[in-house]
Amino acid sequence: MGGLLGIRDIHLHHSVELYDCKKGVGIVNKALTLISLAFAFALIGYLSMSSSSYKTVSALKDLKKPKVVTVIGNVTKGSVRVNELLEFKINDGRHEVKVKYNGFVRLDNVSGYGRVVVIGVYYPQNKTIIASRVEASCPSKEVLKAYK
Amino acid sequence: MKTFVFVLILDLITLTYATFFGDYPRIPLFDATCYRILYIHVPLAWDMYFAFTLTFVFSLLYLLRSRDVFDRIAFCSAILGVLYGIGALVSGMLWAKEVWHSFWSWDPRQTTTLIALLAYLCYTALRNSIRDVERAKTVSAVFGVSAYTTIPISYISAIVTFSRHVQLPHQPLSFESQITLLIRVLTSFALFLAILRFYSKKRF
Repeated sequence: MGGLLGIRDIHLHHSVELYDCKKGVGIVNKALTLISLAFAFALIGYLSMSSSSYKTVSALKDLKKPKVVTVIGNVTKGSVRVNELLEFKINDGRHEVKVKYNGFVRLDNVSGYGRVVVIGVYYPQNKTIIASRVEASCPSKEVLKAYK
Repeated sequence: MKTFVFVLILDLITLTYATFFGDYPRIPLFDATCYRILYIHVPLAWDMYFAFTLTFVFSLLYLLRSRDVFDRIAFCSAILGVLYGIGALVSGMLWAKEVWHSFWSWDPRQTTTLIALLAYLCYTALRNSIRDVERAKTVSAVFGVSAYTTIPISYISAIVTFSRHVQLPHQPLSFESQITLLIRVLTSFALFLAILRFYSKKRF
């Protein structure tokens, strides 16, 4: 009887060990899946953020040949002219480029803080962007102050 | 149920007041009344971030403690987060059409929020596609924790990159607008919690 109980104890001991081992493997699997998925999501998020961010006006000075660009900058105060084309200048506080656009967009010509995004071809020799699209941004506190 | 109805009515009253009578910045560059959509867009977006944070916390708790209540809150919060996120994205697009001159511009904030939303749509699809209930709970908890990495990226995208999305402290809002927005955020948050409570009890 005592021997039989002993064998049963050994079996129970083994099954508990096996259960603990399986549980341990399960936790490791979950943790590994979680870390790999989290890394994959972080990478997708980072790539989507960096690929959709805009060039600054200063970044254009490195370009030697005409190139299609998407640039963000502030409209230079008093630079907006409407002739045959809509002409204005954008800057980032350090550099400035001209923009020519065959269309009309209402731009902030007063505050100097009106941010726009210009999509078009940049010609380095003239420091000019021939824009195919001009879009504005959300106004900031400074823009409101200028219009008060 | 009484609390839910009370919070719903309170939210509708503040929503109606803010969207029809709320203050807006007088800037003549666009139809400035469009700024009242702020009182819809901001509460929806913050509730979305809060919902996905709840999903992250309760999914993690489920993985550690395996209690069904944690899984229930995580799942219902993810569903609500997706719905609020769609609302935030659509209201943001309507606002952008007037101010940015385009519904969708692949701005860093727009793109990263869309990625976050798609990740949580995958969460709900994945969970519903697994027939074994216990397995579905574990898999969705792992997914719910890892998908959360998209949320801080979505939030910081308008801060660390040159985005057209101006963060709230830099928005041209008067004191009256800020108070109205605060009330809208609080009532919307209360409604979110009431819906979550009601939905998580009803569904299971």
